[in-house]
Amino acid sequence: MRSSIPVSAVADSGTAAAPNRSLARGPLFAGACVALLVVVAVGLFAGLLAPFSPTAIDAAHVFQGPSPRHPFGTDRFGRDLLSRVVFGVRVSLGIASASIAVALVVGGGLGLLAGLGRGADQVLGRVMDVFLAFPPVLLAIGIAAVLGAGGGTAVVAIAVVYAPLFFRVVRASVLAESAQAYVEAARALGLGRLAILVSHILPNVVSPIVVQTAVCLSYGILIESALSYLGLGVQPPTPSWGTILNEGKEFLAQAPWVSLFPGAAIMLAVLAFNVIGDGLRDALDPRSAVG
Amino acid sequence: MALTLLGVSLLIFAMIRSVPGTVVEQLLGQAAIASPEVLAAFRRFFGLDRPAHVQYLEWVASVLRGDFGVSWLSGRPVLALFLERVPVSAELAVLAVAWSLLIGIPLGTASAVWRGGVRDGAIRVVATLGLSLPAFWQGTVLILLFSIYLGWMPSLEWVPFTRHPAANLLTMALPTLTLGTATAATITRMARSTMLDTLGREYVRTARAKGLPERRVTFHHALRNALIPVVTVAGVQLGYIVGGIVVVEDVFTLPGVGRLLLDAIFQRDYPVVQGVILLLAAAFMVLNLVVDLFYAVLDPRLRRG
Repeated sequence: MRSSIPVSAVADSGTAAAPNRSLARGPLFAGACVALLVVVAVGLFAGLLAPFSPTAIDAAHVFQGPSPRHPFGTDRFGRDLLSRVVFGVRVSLGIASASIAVALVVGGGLGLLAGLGRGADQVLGRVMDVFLAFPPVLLAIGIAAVLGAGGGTAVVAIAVVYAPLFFRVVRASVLAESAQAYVEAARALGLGRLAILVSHILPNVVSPIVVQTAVCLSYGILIESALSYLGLGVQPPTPSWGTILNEGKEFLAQAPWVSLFPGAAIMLAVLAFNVIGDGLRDALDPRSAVG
Repeated sequence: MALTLLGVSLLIFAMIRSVPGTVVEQLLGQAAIASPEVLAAFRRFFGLDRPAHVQYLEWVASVLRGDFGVSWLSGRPVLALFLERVPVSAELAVLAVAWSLLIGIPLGTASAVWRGGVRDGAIRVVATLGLSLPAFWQGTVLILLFSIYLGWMPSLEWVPFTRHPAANLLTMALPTLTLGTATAATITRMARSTMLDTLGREYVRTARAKGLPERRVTFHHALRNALIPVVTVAGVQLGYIVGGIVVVEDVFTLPGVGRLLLDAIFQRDYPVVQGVILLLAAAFMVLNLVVDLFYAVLDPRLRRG
C-alpha cells in the first residue's frame, strides 16, 4: 500500500498566484480531467450503465472469463463484474469524497482558528502532532479496528487521517497571509477579525486548499480500497473496488479477472486525481511544484 | 517528542477503550450478555472496573517497564510477539527503501538533466503512474505474473535470511518491488525537483564557467548537494513504509508485524492491537527523529545554525 505523502503535499503553500497558462494546454491534465469526468459520470449513471444488478447471483455462470455478455467476467457467485465495478465507483469515490470533505471542513476550520489565535494554535498544533505521529495507513487501520468494519468507519478513519494535513496547510497559509500589508491595512481601517478572515484572508488561501484536496482525494481512494481489501472497510455484498479485490484474492489462479479490473479502476481514478493535483499545484502554487 | 508520544499513548488507550460495548463484551460475546456476573468477573480480572485515568497510568507505567501486556489468545507477552516478527518487516522496509533509492535517484537526476525532452516526459509519467498504483493490486499482479504464469517464484513461503539467503531474497523480491514502487516514484520526483533547483544555482554556473565538463558539473557539484533533501525524503518514506507494510505483508502472507496486527484485529486480541500500534507509531517517530539528525549531519549549515 502506498502510504507515502509527498513533502510538497504538506509543504506550506503561499499566497494565491496567477493561474499558469500552461495548465490549460497540458494534454495530460486535460486527459486526466476527461478521465475523471467519465469516472464520475459512470458513478452517477451506474444504474443505467451497468448491464446487471451488482448483487444478482447467477449460479450457472460462476467464474466466467471476460466475454461479450460479461466483458469483465463473473465472480464466484456468478455476479457480473462490470456491473460491480461500475457500482463500485459510487462506493469508493463516494467514501473518498465524503471523508475528504469532512477532513477539509474539520481540519481546515481548526486551521483557520489556529492561524488566528495564539492560544488555540498551541493546543491544536499539539493535538494535530499526535495524529501526524502515526503512519497514515496504520492510523486508519487502528480506527477501523476499533469502530468495526463498514463504510461509515472508512469515512471516519480517512477523515481523521487527513484532517491534520488540512489543518497544517490552512494554518500555514493563514499565518502567511496575516503578515501581509493588506491585512494590516484592513485592520487599520477598523475591520474585525472575522471580517478580515472571511473577506480578505480566506479568498487568498483557497489555492493551496484546492491543491491539497485533489491530492488527498487520491489518497482517500487508496486508503478506502486498502481498508476494504483488508476486510476492514465496506463489507460484501456491497461492491467497493477494494472489496471486489478482497473477494478475488483467494481465486487468483482460477479467476484473475476478478482482481484485475477493480484494481485498474482504482489506478485510473487515483492517477486522474494525481495528475490534476500536480497540474493545479503547478498552476496555483508554482513554488512547491515537484514534477 | 516526549509530549507527542504521551499524546499518542493517550489516543491509542482511548481508541481501544472506545470499542463499542467494551472490550470484554466483544471478547465474550453472548456469554457476557447472558451472564452479568461473568462480565463483572472478567472486567475485574482485566482491571476494567477501575477509573479510566488509573487504568491509563498503570498501562503507561507498564509500557515504560517494557511490559506491553499479554496476548489474550496466546498468553504470550506482546513485546515478545512483536520482536519475533520485526526481522521480517524491518528487512522488507530496508530493502524497499534501498530499491527505491537505487531507482529513484538515477531516474530523477536523468529527468532533470533531460528537462523538457521526451525522456523527461516519459520519466515523469512513469513516476506519476508509480504513485497511483495501489500496492495491494500491484502485488496481486506481480504474483499472478511471476508466480502463477511464469512460475519463476512458485513458493512465496518466507525463510530467514540466515538460514537460506538466496531463498530469502527471492521471496522478498516481489514484496520489495511492491512496497518500494510508490517511494521510488516520490524519490524520482523529489530528485528531479532538487536537481533542477541545484542546476540553476550560481555555484553550478560558476563551475560551468570554469570550463568543467558537464558530467563533472552534474555529478560532482550538483548531485551531491541535491541529494541532501532526497535522502531526507527517503528517510521520511521509511517511516511511511511502516504503514504500507501491513498491506504488503497481507498480500504476500509474510509473517511480519503487519500480519501480527491484522490477525490480532480480526481475533479481537486488543492488547496485541494496542501494543503493536504503539510500537509502530514509536518506531515511526524515532525514524523521523533519526532523519532530522541525519539531515544535520549531511548539511553542515544546519549544524552551525
